[in-house]
Amino acid sequence: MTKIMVIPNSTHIEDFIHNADAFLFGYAGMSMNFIHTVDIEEIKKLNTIIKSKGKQLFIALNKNFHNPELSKVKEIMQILAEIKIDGILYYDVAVLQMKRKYQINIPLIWGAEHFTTNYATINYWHSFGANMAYISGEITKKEILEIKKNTTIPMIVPVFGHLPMFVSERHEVKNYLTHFAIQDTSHFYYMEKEGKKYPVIDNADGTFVYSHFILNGYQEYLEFSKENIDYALCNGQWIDEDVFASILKMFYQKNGSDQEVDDLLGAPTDKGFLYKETVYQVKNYEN
Amino acid sequence: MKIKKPELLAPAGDLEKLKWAIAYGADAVYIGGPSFGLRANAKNFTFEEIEEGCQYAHAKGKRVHVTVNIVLHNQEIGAVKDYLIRLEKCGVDAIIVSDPTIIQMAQTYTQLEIHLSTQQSTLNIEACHFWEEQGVKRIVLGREARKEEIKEIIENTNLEVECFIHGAMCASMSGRCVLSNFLTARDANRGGCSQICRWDFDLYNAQNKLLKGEQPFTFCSKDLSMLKYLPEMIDMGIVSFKIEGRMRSIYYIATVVDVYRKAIDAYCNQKETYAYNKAYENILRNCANRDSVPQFFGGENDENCGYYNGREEVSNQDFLGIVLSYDEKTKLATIEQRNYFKVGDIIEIFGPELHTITYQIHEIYDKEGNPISVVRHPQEIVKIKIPERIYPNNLIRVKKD
Repeated sequence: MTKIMVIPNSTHIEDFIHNADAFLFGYAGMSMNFIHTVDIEEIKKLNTIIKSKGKQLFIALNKNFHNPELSKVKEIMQILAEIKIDGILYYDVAVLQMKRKYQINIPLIWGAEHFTTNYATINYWHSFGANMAYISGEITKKEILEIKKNTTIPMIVPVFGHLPMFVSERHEVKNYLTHFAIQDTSHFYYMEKEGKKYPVIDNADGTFVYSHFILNGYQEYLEFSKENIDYALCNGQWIDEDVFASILKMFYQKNGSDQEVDDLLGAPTDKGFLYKETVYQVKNYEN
Repeated sequence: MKIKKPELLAPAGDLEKLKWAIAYGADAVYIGGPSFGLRANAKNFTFEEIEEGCQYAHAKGKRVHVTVNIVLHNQEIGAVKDYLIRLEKCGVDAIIVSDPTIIQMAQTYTQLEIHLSTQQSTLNIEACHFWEEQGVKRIVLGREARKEEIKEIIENTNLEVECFIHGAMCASMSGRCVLSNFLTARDANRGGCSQICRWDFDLYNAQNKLLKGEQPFTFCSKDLSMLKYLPEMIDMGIVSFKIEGRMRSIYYIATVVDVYRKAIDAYCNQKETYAYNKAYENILRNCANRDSVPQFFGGENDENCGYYNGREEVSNQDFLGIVLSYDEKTKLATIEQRNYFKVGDIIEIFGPELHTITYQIHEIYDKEGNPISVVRHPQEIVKIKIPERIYPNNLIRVKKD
């Protein structure tokens, strides 16, 4: 059975907790690509609620860490292990290294978002203790299924929502506004090119940009279920909570269609890279 | 007092650039092979050219590093082993890698020295310890590394540390940008980056209000230049100073390598009397097409690092020509023109054998020996009277204040 993993827009998960199997939140100040982040106290509360319903909670510590942040990261990992959340999603190998070094008993998800593109490297990280892998949103359905056949650890595959495209430590929007003395205090923006609007976050951790389209992989999710893909990820960020709750219900109960998802959203959807290979691939190597 | 010199590592997009980089003072060059590198648009090297480049470099006591730093997809895994074996046979000194599957294969099937690419955006000691345990010899730190953390990493690991000192900067953390994939279907992590970060966009806030300055919104970053921090970086023990730009021109590479070679030598040979050379800063500024700043090294990460003035493609306008030969009897230098110049222009001639010579042009002759006053045709061969001895492959640029 494929479990539904959700990135919500907030901690108000009551409306759709029954239509999800697992939740992924970013840790405040220690994660990238999350609109809403949580601290230890919120995690404890969430963990109690989520566990009481028999669901899972995963926390992302997916920044690239600087030296001064390491002791804090270690401390957070130890607390998360103590309260027994279900796993930490990481990007920086420092998290894996600290788990090994300090023998922190917590499952890890290798979540280097654009690097999780082949089975050999997933197996590499598995050999060092990664327990799950969050698959890149830029590979094809065929590649995803190949990875499944050639790995043994659980996989998380994005099937719905805006996809992350860009992470920077720089404050790209804030710097621009400062340079041209434009007054605006929000953290959420859109940048537009040729009629396509890309959601942007510029907050204390840097700048994050998402795809202009919403990935609608409902049909593929049904296929992934048949192939025993472990988790299908539905990203609710930037999407109206009521609409998202309805879509989630459709995924969870497997009683909808691509068209019904589109109708609920009333916004551009796309199949992303599920059927589209990127060009500039490696030229054929000849001896 | 003499101190240990760091390696000056230059980019080379092809065999010709490799030779120019070495001639102008690079201790090592990094190149892309026929596959698996992150500059699919560069000319790159065939295996035969890699072999020739290695032989050329080794004969001069220099090293060749090859980028094998793409993020692998399933279908590429099978080709890596033979590729690495072939590189080793070519005689390369090191490979620059980001995908650990390639590290594993290199260790299983070759003796190649492994350098971890900046694509891994490594910024801390724990990550460095992991890579050190896996047999990585050198690490190219993330461009976001501050000087304090570079120092701590050097002091607390046995890794060689390589840092960028000059050239273009990603707006994103290396490896964490796929704008190119989404907007142009070109895979940024497999050599196809189309530099979307240099495009203009309209910016709106959440209330759909257009936020517009005098110039459009862009992620475009200024370039990196660490000239001012060079002594500090040398004293910290950074092993290799890397110049970005495998797709840059011969003139750019020769100019940048020449400046850093001379600055590094000046500091390492006589630290006590070393003084920052403002003229070098001007030379670097004039040969680039964007402003440059030290970026993250000193902890700055503000609007001064952004480049909001629109693209100004002025690069290489200063480059006037290449010296082909010099006749000591007549004092006439034969020049191949690269940009318009004329009698009366003040020029600088530079090269590895020279301190920079400044000279006002008084006489120019065409190929037949007729006096002319302007040289306006690309690659036109002319002769200029130069009183001092100069050498083939010296370069000529216009003198600016």
